[in-house]
Amino acid sequence: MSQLDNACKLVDSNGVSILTLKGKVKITEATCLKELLIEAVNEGNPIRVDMSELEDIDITMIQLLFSARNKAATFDLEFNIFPISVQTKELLRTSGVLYELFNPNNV
Amino acid sequence: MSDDNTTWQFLTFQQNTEVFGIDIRRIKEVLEIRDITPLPRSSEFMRGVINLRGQVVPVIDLKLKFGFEKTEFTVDTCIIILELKIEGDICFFGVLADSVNEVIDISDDDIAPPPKIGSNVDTAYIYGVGKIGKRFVVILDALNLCTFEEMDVIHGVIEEEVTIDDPAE
Amino acid sequence: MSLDLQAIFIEEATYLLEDLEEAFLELESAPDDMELVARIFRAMHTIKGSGSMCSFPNLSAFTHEFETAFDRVRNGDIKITKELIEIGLDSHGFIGRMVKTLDHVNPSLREESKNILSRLHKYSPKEGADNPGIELDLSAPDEVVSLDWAHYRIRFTPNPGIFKYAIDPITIFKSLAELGEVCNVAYIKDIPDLFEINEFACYMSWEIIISTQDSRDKLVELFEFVEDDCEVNVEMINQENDFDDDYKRLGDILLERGDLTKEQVSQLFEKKPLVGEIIEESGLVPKEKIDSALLEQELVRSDREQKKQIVTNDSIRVSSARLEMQMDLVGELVISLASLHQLAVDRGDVKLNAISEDLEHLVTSIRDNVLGIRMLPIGGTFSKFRRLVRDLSSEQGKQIEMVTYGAETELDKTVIDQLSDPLVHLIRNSLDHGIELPEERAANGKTEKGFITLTAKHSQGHVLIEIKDDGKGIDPDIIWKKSQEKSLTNGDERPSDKEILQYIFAPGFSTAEAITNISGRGVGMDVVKRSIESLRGSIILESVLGEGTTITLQLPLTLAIIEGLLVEVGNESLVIPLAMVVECVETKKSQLESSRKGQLIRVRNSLIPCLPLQNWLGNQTHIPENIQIIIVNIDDEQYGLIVNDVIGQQQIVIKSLGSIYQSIEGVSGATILGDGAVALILDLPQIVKLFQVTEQV
Repeated sequence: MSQLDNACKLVDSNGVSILTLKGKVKITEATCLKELLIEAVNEGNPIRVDMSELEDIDITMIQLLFSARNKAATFDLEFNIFPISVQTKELLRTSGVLYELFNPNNV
Repeated sequence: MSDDNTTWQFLTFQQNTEVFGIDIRRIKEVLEIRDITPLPRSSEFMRGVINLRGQVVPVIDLKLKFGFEKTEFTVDTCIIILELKIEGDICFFGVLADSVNEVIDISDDDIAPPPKIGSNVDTAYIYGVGKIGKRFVVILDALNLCTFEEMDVIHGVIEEEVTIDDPAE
Repeated sequence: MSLDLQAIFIEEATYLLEDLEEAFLELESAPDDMELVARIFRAMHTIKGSGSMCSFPNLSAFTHEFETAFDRVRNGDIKITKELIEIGLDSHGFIGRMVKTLDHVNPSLREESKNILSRLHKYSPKEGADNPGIELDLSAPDEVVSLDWAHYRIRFTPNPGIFKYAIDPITIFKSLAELGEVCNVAYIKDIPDLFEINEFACYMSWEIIISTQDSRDKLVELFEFVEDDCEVNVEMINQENDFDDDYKRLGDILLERGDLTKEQVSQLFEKKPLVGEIIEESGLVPKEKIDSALLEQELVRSDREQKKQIVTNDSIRVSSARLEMQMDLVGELVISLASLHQLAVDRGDVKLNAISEDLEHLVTSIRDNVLGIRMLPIGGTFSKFRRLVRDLSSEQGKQIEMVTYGAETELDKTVIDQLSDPLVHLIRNSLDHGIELPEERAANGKTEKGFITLTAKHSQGHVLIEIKDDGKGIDPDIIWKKSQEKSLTNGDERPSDKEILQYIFAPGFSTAEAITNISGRGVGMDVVKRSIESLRGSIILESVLGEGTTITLQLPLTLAIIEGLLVEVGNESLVIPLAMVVECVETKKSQLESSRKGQLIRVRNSLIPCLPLQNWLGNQTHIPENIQIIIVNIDDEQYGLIVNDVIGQQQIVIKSLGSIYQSIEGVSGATILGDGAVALILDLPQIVKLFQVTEQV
């Protein structure tokens, strides 16, 4: 489904795996997101998640993000979230994970 | 309930032989005539200012405003104090009346629009003409009686006067 | 209720913004001043807190970002940079606009906020990320003033299968946020490995601290749909009026929550005093739980500090409307007292007279007191000007520093409010046309940097405000030429330089042409002069070519009460502001000397033109043989006002005449006399003008 592809997309850019999340990424996209995250981690390159055009998320997405971040850490891969849209940031805050998500000490 | 049956209360008052009415919601109180301090070089119908419990309130002579003779003060002469909201501020104005009659109810049905011709008063000041039995009451539009625009017109007049006048005479 | 809150917030924010701007500008010259940083932080924090209380969530969110960055400055993690000050000033402007739009984010504001935030994020913690205090501050409800607020702790552990019922905890969190200030800490430890995770299961749990005015039931209600298969635990964590000196110790909190057992706590306590670290080190409790407990501690502590402040703070803020009313009432009191006094004198009643004199003392004290309350330091306006100078000078490629003195000088609030525009005008003039470009200054042997000095000081019952620049000054020759071109002069004889400079204030002088081509001054200077005069003040301009220009404004301390001279003209009583009166001369009509320009009076070898106020009154032009002449000083010129009689000197409570009377020339207001009659207060400069118009015909 093309819409699905649009919501989560993984590209390789100069040795960095860039995962772009757009629009709504919720439970319907969870499987797709999970697969892309696994793919990115297996790729072995630094990972960057672009959330600049992300509008809505749910807890499934947040869980996957943490899980992937932890995984990346065990593989010693850089895992960055940048840039990030205001709405998403607000949603992460509302969910009580903003600080956790951006605090590498917690990995 | 139909809107057509809404009735409003008006205070009627006498100016010469004519009866006028003003919506009582615009009226703060009615005072007996008292000393009015004239304002130099204001328009003719601005009779001056009075002290209303510490507030300085202008008093307008409607007869002069409508082009009649100036109101002569008698024991019956009253000052009707209007409470108007102009440009967001509450303003008080006094309006002279030969005598105050009564408060009457008039329903919307009985109020006709201002007559196009044949009125002694500029229709801009008239809200409508109310009918009570066979009598007619000219209902004034309180807000239009006292507007800033009007005062600006006065301003121009004063300036002209001054240039003609020679105080050194 | 919410409208009220909004109004309060707007007022508070306006006040805080002033403070903020001032602090930023000061910070520029003293970037290491931690006191200033703390001041900025406090102001931002208050705006944020109050903003979210008073339904300005967007504003609050924005301010939070800012506060976060400044918290790092406060903690010494980052240093103040020029850019950070820039961002601060931009944020200041943005917040101001957000307050104006009542938190409505229009597209241009959205752009602006994006821009500011992206710059700010360079300083915010997601890169530095070693400051656990930031996220915690989010909910610190310092500004909670109402005593009905309570804090609850909600523990929410959803059933792993919750997503199957299409329930998203975020929705619940959002609803919670609508009930009050929320701080949410998520527990993420249970999220499994990426390769093993079931994306449709919920592994997270939350601990939410909420400060709300709503009841516990209301909170529980939100979890109604999920209650059955989730663990939801709502409890109050702080009873209001709980003034215990130290809230619970961190260990106790965790203990109370059941995160630690009593034995564990006492064991830990024996070791070291830094409980947070120990517990964390010991690994008994996951870090989030400690954070959350720390948060609780912080929250209750700040709440308690706030309460203490309420108790100990000895200053209160009063709306200016109330002050106005107070002033009006005092005015009434003065008037009633005058009636009483008159009655006592009329009756010759000694006892009554004594009472009225006692009362007079009291009323005078009350009046002075109320007037004192209305006095504000002018410094608030000064900071605005520093901003103006700063922004405009860089725009024009000039180097200008603004120096201010006497910011603590107090003036009546009304005067300050009305002074702002004229001052902006004057400062802009100095800036646009007075101070030269750096190269030009250097070529003339001046420092490249120009100075504008703004001084306020008290002097003989007045306040003097001086705007001084060290720019190029005003060339009298150019002014003279321009005045002649505009036919503002009376003949071709060139007056003194000082007199020529006064032409700048002539109504016809300021034109668009004058702004750009002439030496610079004259931008609506007549308007400035008028507005200063409407405050019963005066304006003096001095300029030395090549060295600079000084403009001095003399202003009355208050607008509400003046000393006046009560005179009788025709049948009316009129008030002449005493400040302008030089002397009173008793004379006869026949002793006046006539001239082409009207009557003149000889006072000690000088001839002073006379203005018969009877003519101004109009209705009775008769001037009696025995007259009094009040010599007044207007713009350094003396005039004699012809009046029938002088009644006496008196304190005059000024009653505003409102917009309607602005059209009546020669009258600046009215007052009510002891007998209840209304007396008009003369606007002398206008009266002089009225007579001059007549002369010219």
